[in-house]
Amino acid sequence: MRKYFEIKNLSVGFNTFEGIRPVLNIEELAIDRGETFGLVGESGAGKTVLALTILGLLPKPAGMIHSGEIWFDGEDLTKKSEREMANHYRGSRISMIFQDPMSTLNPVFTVGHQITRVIEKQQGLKGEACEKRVLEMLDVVRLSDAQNMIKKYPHELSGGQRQRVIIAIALSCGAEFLIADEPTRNLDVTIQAGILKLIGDLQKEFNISVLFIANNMGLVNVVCRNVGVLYKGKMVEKGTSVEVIHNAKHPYTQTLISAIPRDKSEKLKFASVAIKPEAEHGCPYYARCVLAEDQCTQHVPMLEAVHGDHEVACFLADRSNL
Amino acid sequence: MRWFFDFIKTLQPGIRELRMSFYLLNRNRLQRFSLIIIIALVLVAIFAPVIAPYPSHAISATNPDDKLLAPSAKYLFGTDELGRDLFSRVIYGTRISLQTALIAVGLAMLVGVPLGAIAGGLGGVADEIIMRITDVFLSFPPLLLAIAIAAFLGPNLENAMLSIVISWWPWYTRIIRGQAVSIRERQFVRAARSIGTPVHRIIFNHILPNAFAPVIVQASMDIGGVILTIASLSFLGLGAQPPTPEWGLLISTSRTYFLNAWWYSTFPGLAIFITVLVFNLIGDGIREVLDPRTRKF
Repeated sequence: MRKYFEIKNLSVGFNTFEGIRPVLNIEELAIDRGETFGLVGESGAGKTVLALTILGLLPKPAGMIHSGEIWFDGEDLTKKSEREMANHYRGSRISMIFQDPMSTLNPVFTVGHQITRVIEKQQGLKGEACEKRVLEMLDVVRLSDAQNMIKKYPHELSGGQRQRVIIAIALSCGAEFLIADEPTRNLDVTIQAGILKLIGDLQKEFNISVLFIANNMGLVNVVCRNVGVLYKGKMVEKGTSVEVIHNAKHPYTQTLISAIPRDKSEKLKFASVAIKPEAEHGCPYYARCVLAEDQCTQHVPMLEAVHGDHEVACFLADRSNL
Repeated sequence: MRWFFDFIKTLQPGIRELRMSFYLLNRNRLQRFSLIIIIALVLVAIFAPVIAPYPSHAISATNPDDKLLAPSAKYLFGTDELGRDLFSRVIYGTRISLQTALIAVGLAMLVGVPLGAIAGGLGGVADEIIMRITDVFLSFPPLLLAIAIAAFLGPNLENAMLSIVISWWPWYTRIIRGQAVSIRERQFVRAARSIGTPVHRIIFNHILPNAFAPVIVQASMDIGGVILTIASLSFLGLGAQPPTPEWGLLISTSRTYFLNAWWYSTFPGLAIFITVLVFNLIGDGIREVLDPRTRKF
């Protein structure tokens, strides 16, 4: 039985002048209906590339899916044509919140116009019914003074307001699967909390599934049931968020967790830059790992179960408890 | 049809840019002077029948008693070989020149802009095909093309405009295409695609409006050049035909008389000179204002 959303052995690469550069290598990722899955990793880990791959929006002609399957509700998205993706999936079933609210809205149209167009297209509403729906959507994302807001151009709004508009647009599509690519990046903390709560509420209300992408372990902990940690395009640890946060096995995950700001000042226990040369055939994290042993340079560790659903790709998983 | 109205609405940023440049132009004395002359020329063109003392002379009325008279109070610019008032004819010529230049540039934009947006927006094979076609059109020498068109379709003002449109549109295609290629990679275009926006909407509602400003500026700079080209074509007999009071044509006919009627070639020539000069000055000014490296303030 396939899960609602499932990625199998996905491998994505970019063609460059120096040959194909692998960017993503995901063995397995599954999301249930109504579930929020958190994907964590540093910049350049491949999180956004994963999101674009799912939507079939990899930059062309550089980006390429080399192998693998993306199953969504019984259909393999990697086999769909551009036209099928545009007409039957993007927007109507899968939509995405982009990470940069400053550049995601078209600068020449008013906010209201942009939401109206989406609602007209995706929900087939016209005229007054449509206008009413636009105001409703702005209310859903807790944007006050909606009447005034729809007449404004993107540059007249603050980052948080724009992000809410973007979320409103993403939700107006009525999609059942939402990819939130660092939706709270660049926003201040109070707005961040508001938007996280909003996504959580909406998820419960409409029973949508969310792929929540972040580079902050603390955020993921708040909204997600399951978490995956991405490093250099590979999943290095996966499990329920409670388990992963309280019982992190992979040294990289531990770094991420120790980076969450707490009340007492804690020092980073791990290197955030390479401290030794890369191991060509070994663990991708070798260069930054303070615990690495000889065997780490020989083979690439695979994801292995340590406790229930909790899987870790590290040879030292049993020992690296700190 | 809706997309068309949206599109019209979205010319706003381009127009805003143009308005801003006019505001900035106003700060330079030479450019302010040019701007005033251009406004005057436009008014002259619009109110030609009111301003011209002898409107009927602009077309075909003849007045054999007064032929080739020197400038006087009665005939400000003198008269031509058929006794027509040169002043009236030059004034009507303003109308013809501005009109043809605007129409030619407008048509060239109408052809070039959508093609450029499609090329840049779609990319790939479509881009390759459209841009190679523009290369072909850019390789025609405009005057030779005009001669060929005149030979096939007969020499008149419309065909001269046609040849200008044919040799001019690829420039707009190139400008828009260059803009479109960079805008296509912007986040809001990607976001629009992520919610399933069809490609024609991406091109005409998202890319085109954001790519339009430089074309409006380029077009306003091109008008002087187009006026000069039209006059050249008419001078060569490939454009306007008698009795049209077109400036190039006036100079062309005046060649026979210029030894004893200096005014006949001088005034139409001055009209061309001043018009092209002020349009070029304004064009340079706009370029200067829009290029941060040459902007002086």
